[in-house]
Amino acid sequence: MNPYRENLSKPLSVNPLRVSQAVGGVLALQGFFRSLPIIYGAHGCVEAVGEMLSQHYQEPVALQNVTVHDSNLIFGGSESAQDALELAVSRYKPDLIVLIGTSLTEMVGEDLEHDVKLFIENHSKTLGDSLVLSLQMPDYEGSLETGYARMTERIVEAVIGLSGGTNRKKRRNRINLLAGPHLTPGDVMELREIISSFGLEVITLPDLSSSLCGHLLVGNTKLSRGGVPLDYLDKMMTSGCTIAVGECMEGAARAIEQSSGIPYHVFPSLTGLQASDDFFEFLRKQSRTEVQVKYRWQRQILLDSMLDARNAYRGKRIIAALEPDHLLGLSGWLEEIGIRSFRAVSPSVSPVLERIGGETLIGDLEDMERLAEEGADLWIGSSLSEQGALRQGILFEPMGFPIFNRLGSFLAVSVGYRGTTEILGRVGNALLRAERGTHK
Amino acid sequence: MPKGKNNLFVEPDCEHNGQEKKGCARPRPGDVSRGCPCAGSLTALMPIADAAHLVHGTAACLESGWGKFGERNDFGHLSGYGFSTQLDDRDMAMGGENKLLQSIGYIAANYTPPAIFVYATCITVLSMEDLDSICQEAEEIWGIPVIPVHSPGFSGSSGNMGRRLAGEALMDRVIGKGAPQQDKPAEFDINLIGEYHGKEEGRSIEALLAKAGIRVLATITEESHFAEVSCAHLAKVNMVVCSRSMITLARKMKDKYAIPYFEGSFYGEREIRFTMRQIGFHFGNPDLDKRLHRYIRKEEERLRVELAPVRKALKGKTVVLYTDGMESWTYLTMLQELGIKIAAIGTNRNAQEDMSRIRERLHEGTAIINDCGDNQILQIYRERKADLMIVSGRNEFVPLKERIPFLSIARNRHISYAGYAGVRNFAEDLLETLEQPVWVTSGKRAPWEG
Repeated sequence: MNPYRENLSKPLSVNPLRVSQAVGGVLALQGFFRSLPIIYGAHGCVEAVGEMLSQHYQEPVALQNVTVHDSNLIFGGSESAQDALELAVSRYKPDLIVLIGTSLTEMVGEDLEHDVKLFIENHSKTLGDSLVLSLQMPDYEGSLETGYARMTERIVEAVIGLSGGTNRKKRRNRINLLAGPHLTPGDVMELREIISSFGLEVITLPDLSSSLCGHLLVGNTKLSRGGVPLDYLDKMMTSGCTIAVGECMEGAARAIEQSSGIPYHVFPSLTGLQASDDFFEFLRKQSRTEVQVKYRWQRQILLDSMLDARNAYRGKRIIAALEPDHLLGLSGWLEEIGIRSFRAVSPSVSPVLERIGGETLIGDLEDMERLAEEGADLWIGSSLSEQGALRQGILFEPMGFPIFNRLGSFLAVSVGYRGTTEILGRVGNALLRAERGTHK
Repeated sequence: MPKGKNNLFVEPDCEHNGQEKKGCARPRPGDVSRGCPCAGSLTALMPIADAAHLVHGTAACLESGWGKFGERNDFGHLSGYGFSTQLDDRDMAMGGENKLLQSIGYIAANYTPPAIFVYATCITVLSMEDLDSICQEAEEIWGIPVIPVHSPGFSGSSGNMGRRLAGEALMDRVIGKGAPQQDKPAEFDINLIGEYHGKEEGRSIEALLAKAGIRVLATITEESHFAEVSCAHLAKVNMVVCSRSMITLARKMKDKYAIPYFEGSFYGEREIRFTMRQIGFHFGNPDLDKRLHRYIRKEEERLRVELAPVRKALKGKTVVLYTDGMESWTYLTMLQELGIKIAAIGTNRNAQEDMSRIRERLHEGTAIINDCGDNQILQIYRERKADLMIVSGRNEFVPLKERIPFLSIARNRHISYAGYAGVRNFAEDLLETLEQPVWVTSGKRAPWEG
């Protein structure tokens, strides 16, 4: 059985929930400074990825293409790939290029690894320290989450390969933060701030908080607009520990541990009281520093707002269609505040699905509408699912990816005590709106 | 170039047809991704909102054409639905024909649409699936039209090719199949074939024509019902709106059903006047002529009075366009009518027709840059000291990140620029954009930056 198939009871997908891997891969790359993803596929593959990311983040996205044409299919596309790489290097001088394969290149049997090797051999002089990699990201498996995680892992492995060194001296006050795809740039910013407040130095990867947060520092550019610089990543191998946020990031964390002996800790989610307590306790021990007054206040405020919000949440039936890690986090804090039921649809298989409180199935947005028909007070999901909510007459709260036509959704914070308070208010207000029936 | 009977590179009604055919252009890598034929077909046919649209391919194939704007939800019970067979690696190796047949069955049983469109993709063409015979088999089993659309992603380098191929599917399998509905005989029925900008504009165009006594029978590639499109052959005149991508369809309808067609647009007074006169000419009815004439005069007079203050404020302003496709020429007339100078037009993925239409509409002194880079357009904007940039698509981030005043005429806007009301909307949007204080405030230095 293929673990990635959506709802096995039907042959097709109706209103797909799944966002393809390549979107996740391109997204992750935006969190590395001066990087450039090059998608190797038909025209449409590139267009859709760029448009979706740009609409969600309201930001330009670094992305180039090697297009597969019918002539390539017959004569092979290696030459096109070389041209694309050459163009990218000569015109923009990126620090990091990843050639991303699609289902199409996989089916035709293009050897991306060979293309990249050949290119590096021919351009060893002009390339300098630039890193050129390849990664197959066919859209017949996985989803945004796996694509994002695989891209991060690929880059981590490349950095390990470059810096080697298992025996380098570690610095206890330096921490690697592997930020999962369910975190917004605003979330990542908040996490960096929290960790820094313990006197720890943070290396974030991918770091969307400095690239897709929306800023005007670099003007118009074809490369990623910010993110963690490649030379800074070398320091990653001398950190005291690694924090992975989101289970999908464990692979990259494990790779770092195996090569350098840096221990890692996975936080499935950092939303909710318990999750935040665990996180602060971990940082307290790691840094041997006390929690700042500011955060003690934030915790007080959270406790109070949980009491305030209890009625808005009591007895409510909430359904959600999100990526696995995101679902796990959401179900966790909803359980904490106390609702009647939580049911969810996930686009792809993940080991975390078993840990989600409440019924969870792998499926599409048609399945989500079925859940809605059984009765629900709030529908949580990406903008792709908004129509379904409208059809079912259930109040819709945007979350996940992609979100269109909402200002600043990528800056919303839902991690830590302050973030939990915010999301508690946001979702709680939606529930109150539903109670008043003003959405109909 | 093969001289097959169904060669879409040959179009006798196209002005570029006499030129030597270039054959398959080698794709150019880089940051300009041209459109996908499959996505082009999807955007052209998905507006047939009560039919089901099933993409036979991997997950991303539907992504490129579905769910982008999430706004169609009140036009037919399948409006906004996207179906995908989501082939996996096993299907790719073993063939997805069986899965396709089952999927069609699932849709027919659960959603009972009047028709199902099935879209071929790169993957299914490579695995040499026989889409036609599966569709035929399905048709026999479930008794509804199952229409294959052959426009895999690598079949061309633009969405235009996909629109043409969608037109082929309509001509072969849809138009002419519908029975006339009894309550629908009318004197002045026309079809609109082509593209404009979504729901709002469709409605404003239909309203405009209705005022002049003309009824729109079918809007092909815009929101419609399957039954309407299948009855399109009953119209008296076809209007090819803006885009020429479907001119082949119009020409074939002329050949087969003797329906004359003309090209026109609804953006700007001159274009509307021209369009209305064409309609009058083709119907050849003196009463209608008089009505059209009166209507045009009344509306133009009204606009003249209403727009006087806006015109005064806009006079002498200079704009630079950084737009692609039809957006690069549809607004030119309107801009000129408002007294705005067009310093330059930068485009990237324009067909020949788009280029010649730009030239038709321009006076001297406008720089036309084909294959225009971001930096090129920024440079010319600064050199010519323009006041505003007009952009489409993802080009909007170019002026945004440089804090240059701009108006985005993206496809997903909710306001209509078509018709007389559209001229007003456009003028107001231009003026209000220019006057927004944010262009100044966003350039303000922080106190500590000195």
